[in-house]
Amino acid sequence: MQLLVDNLSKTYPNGTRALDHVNIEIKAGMFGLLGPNGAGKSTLMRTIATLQDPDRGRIVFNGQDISKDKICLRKVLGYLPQEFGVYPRMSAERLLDYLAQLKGVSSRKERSKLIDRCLEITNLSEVRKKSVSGYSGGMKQRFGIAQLLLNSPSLIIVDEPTAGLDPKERVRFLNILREIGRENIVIFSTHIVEDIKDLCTDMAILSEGQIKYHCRPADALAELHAKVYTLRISEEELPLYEKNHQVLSSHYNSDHSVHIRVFSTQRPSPAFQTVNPTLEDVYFTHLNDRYV
Amino acid sequence: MFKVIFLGELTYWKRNPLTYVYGILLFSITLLAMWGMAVDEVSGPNLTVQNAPHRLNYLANYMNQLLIFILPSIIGASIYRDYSSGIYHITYSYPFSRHDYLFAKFCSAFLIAILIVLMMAAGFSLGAFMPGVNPEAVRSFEIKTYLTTYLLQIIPNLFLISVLIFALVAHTRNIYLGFVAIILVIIFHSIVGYLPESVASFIDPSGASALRKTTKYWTLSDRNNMDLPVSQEFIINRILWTLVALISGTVFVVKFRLGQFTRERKSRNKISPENVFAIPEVSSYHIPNANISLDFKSRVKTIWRLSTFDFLSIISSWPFILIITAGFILVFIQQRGMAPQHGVPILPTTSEMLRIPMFIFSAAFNLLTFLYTGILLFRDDNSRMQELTYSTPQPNWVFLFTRFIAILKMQLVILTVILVSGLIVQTVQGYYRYELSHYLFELYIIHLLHFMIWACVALFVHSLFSNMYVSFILLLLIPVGVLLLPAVGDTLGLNFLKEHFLHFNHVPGLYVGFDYSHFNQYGTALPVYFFYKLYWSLGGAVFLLLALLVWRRNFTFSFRERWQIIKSRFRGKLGFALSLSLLALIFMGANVYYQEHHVSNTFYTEAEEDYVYAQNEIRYGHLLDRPQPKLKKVVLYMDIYPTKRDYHLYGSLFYVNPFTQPIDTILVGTSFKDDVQLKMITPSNLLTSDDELRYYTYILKNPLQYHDTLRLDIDIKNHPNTLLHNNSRVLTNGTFITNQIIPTLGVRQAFLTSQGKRKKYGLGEKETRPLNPSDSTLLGDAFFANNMGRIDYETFITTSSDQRAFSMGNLINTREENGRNYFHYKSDGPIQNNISWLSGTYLKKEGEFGNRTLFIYHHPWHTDNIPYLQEGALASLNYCEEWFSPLQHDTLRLIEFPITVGTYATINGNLIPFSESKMLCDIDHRKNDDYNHPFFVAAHEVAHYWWGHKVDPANVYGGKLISESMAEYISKRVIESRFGKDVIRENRKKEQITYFEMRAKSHDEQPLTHARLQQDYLNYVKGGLAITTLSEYIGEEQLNNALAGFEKAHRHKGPPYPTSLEFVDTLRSATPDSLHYLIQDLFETITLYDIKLLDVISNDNSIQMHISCKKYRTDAIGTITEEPPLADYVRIGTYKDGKEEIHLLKVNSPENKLTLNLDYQPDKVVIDPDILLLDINRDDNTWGE
Repeated sequence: MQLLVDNLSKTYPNGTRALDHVNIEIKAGMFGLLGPNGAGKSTLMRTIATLQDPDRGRIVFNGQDISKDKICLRKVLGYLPQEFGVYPRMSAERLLDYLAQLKGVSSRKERSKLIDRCLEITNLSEVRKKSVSGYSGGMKQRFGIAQLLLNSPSLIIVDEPTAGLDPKERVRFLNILREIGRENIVIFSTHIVEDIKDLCTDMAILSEGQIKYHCRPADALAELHAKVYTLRISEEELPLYEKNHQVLSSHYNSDHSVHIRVFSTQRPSPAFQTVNPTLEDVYFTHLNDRYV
Repeated sequence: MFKVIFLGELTYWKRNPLTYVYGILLFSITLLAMWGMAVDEVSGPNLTVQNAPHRLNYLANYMNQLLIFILPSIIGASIYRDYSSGIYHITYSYPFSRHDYLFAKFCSAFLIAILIVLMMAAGFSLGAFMPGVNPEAVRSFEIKTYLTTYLLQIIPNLFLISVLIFALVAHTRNIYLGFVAIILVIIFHSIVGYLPESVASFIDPSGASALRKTTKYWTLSDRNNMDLPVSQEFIINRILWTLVALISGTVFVVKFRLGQFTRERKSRNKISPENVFAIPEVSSYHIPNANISLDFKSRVKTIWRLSTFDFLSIISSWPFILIITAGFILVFIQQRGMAPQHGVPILPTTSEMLRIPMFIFSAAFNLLTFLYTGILLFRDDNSRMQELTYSTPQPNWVFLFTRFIAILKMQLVILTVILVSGLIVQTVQGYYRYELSHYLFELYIIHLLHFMIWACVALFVHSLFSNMYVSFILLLLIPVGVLLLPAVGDTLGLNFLKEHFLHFNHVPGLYVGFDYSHFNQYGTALPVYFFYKLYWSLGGAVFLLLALLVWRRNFTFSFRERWQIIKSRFRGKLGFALSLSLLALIFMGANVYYQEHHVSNTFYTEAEEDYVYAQNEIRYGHLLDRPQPKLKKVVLYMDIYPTKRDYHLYGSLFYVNPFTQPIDTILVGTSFKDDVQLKMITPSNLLTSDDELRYYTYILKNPLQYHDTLRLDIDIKNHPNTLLHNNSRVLTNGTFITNQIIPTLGVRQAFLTSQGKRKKYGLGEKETRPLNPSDSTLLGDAFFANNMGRIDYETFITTSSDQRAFSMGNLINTREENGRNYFHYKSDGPIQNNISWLSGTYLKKEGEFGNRTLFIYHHPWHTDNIPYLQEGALASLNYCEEWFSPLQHDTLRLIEFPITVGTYATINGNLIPFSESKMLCDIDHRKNDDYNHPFFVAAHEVAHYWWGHKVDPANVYGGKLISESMAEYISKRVIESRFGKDVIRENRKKEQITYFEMRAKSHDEQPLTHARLQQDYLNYVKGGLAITTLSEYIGEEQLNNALAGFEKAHRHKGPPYPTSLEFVDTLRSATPDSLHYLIQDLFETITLYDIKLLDVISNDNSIQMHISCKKYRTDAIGTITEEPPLADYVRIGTYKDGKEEIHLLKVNSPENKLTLNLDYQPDKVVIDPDILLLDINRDDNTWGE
């Protein structure tokens, strides 16, 4: 199973270059797409989900150019957009039935079994008769998962799924994704680095429409080994350090002192201490190309 | 805070181009309309002042009906903007009260709406002063006129609808439901139209009914000169509806909560806290593998199922339920109150149930189709669910057809309203001849096909635009545009715009429902209908494919991107299918054009007819006075082929010269519709042959001397019937062919009368030859059938073996031979010439008719009203034989003909063909104590044997006073003696109203002695009333003796034939001097009364009445010309405990205090209780109770 994004470009009429020669190869497993807001994540996701056409480039799924046959990809696609609404006055059950039919599950019996199962997994069975437009944010997101699972998809695209979920819910949500990701491709975008850490077998950092970095999370961490240092400084010193060092991130402490993390191939000064690199360090290291 | 929001909103509108588009559009339309009308208005007696108050009010209200459709985009949009942009999340938390917010929003938008509608006033007022306008057709600008219309109608109406739209949109957060408010208002308004006037004038939300109530009898003169009347009812109505608007607005403001976020009902959606969390820790998240089937068959199944889903979402929404309920009520009311003919309700036949609601229904139907197609197509986008549905593995056509089928299902539901309501109405009215297959066929095949094609258009237009408002308004304009195309073609001189192949989804000649007869059902309408609908279905298919081409599924960000997608789609199979169906459409369109233009067609358009009329005057007008021989004898063979719908007529016509001067030139005119071969047997030369006007001039070798005979042989067939053109006069059942197919001698009396048209063809203002009764040269022509007089008649008819054929004369012989039926009819002596042939399958009913026989041949279903026809005919016979002379014929035959041919009855010799409509009158058979139309019709027609046949008036103005008015008088007399005084009074009241309404619509009213031949409201209605009034004043016996003298003097005499002048002289000589004023008032002038009973003072043995009386005379357009002095007799009715006493009093002056000696104190006093005087307002004629 393989998804190939080949030289994809997209420029919006207002001049924004959402995608700029994006090349990436994604294999079965969890693929995390990291990037700040406005990096082009949603554009990429929607383009892979066949909802939007690129200006240039193509997407090849299992050897098939999907611009030539979108239906072929949609058959195995499970897509959860960043934001979505539902028809008003419609229960979860009915909406899922509607969507299952659109996804091609034509047997009524099979649909009802599938819907029961999906509602069970997402713990919506009890509210199946309530209208979805009245759901809370988390419930609606779970409904999104339920609809995604209906056609037992092998390519799953979830765009910022954990935004707005409380921490506990987020974990379980990610568990489902991981479960599915064992044999299938799961692409999920996020700007929360935490989400990637334990789950992803593969990741990429997208910024300003370009893939800045593509690797396995473990390799990335290994690459930064012994290259991240930390120091506690005072608030006033921050600009100075930022000027002289490659500061990855800074955390304020309650006494207004600041912990900074710095990228450096060798210890900048004795005061710095080595720390184990985190994915956040990887993210900030590669976000702006500055340090690599 | 109010001010801030208000001004902010105004700034928004100031910067919004929509405001200007509306304003400029409205201004230009009204300016051009007024300008155009004021230029085109021709000076003359029927000139309409285009900017007179009444006219302006009419125009402004008309425009306003269209204007309300832009209100949602202003009033609705002002509040909807905050939702759609999501800004309400923020603004609702700002520190202002909901009152400030709502008032400011509403007031600003309403102010903009008012400014826009004021552009209409600007357009109208400026248009009247543009160069080139006819100065007589405009008045000087008067601010008062505009103020009245705007302040009392336009603005309050806008206010009401604006409040409704605002509340609905604010409440539902759906701008499209603003249209639901409009549809509901339209339906309500239509319902009001069916209510009694007195109720409607209060509750009509537009105020138009109240205004109409006071102006409905206004003559052209009144309409040109009077200010708008502001009646008490009108004011009350206005206050009422403004209050309704204010109260509903207040209720809405009180109920509205700024913070209300969702309109989901919380109770139904209450979710218990334990549910808020979450995804369970389960051991496995395994999902069973779904069986995905995406083959064509399962996709079709999916379409069907999902369309049900969409369909249910429509019909379960409360706005739809509301509309369908209101629609049901409207249809029910319409079907219940079927257009009564002559005040008599007609039976709720299935065809009536289907036809009656169609007019309003089809307009509302399109509105709903357009609206809900849009709502379905924009539903995914509006609910932001599109990313979920668009990414499913279904091709676009699955989505398209899902919506399409859903809309069709919705259309089926709407059509079912007519079915259900129709069945209920039939049951309630005790009409149990349910024709379910007729309902199903017409609703679910014929009408559905029509509305389905509009659904295709709607699908395309809504897919094309990403703004539903734009597509919806555009869709509303399309059917209107199609209807206007011919007019636009006329105005711009682009005649091709009149071609039917351009009139999308329109079947020529079919506007509102189908004509249907029990005799031959739809006649030839269905093949024509399906032919055009096949063509337009191809158009529909093209639109569906176009919809697929422009279908919005991908996210696109520029027009270029969308265009790329469309291009790439076109390169695929879709382009092929589209090209193919476009080719098919063009081919079929060419076929339509060919069938219409190059295949035998005997139909003339109005313009073509006008041309013929004009040329008739230009080329032949000078020959009008040339004497021509008169028809004396006829021997004709008529073959009728009902299944093929063909006929063949051949035989000889014999003419005699009745004049002492010899005739050497014969001008023969033949029928335009038929294939006519002439053979002049009398030696002659064909001098000219004018195939365009179908005139053939023969010069006789030997001039025809006094009493010499001329023989003309004819051979006439119909042109072949074609797919689109029914060129024959034959029906499959119920054929009724009249003498129109027989050639005439001399110039046809067919000239243009409309001043505008005369001007267009360069004809003088004067009529060609006024048929003045005082012109003695005209009195040689009898009335019937273009100067043919009485003839010896013989005819041989053949028809199919299952049909019976009829013509004038006595049946000499009948037999069946070679699978055909033969009939031989011959008159026993000269018979009034009004030849016709009928053929059909009938049941026969024979009845006693004095010492004669009366046969009624009728449709097998139509048996209920036969007794009334028999009774009426007999009553009339007895009356006329008692007063005048014996009937000429031993046998009379009443033959029913299809309602699709006409709704009249007539006499042709001893034959009385009468319309199916008479058999469909709904009469209370148990009581039968009310005015009975079939009884009346039979009585009227039989009376014509004396008044019309025996006394045959000259073909001049006023002539019908002797025939039609007299037949009306006699039938009223026999109605009175059969049904009683109350019934005839009620009848007179209705007839008076008919007269007042018709004279208000006409602009050339004449005194009865000079009534034009086509002015039925004078010849029948007013004439019948006038003679009755005279008989009431001078006595029935006195009058009838005079009439008998007239009948005797003119029986079978002529030429010269009698005129109205002679007739009125006879009436005058029977009238005492003191009542001579009646002759003048009733027959020689247009005279009306305005009588008021102001007060009654009751004493011990007398009452004193204060009566004001105005008598006035008017000219042809209703201008009061004089108020003659009074010396008039008026009947007064006094009532005590239901007992009536009639007194005759003389009124000498406008104000009268009259005393009446009574030995009781009356509880009611009524002036003119017998309804004899023409008094428009009778409400003020009564005192007491």
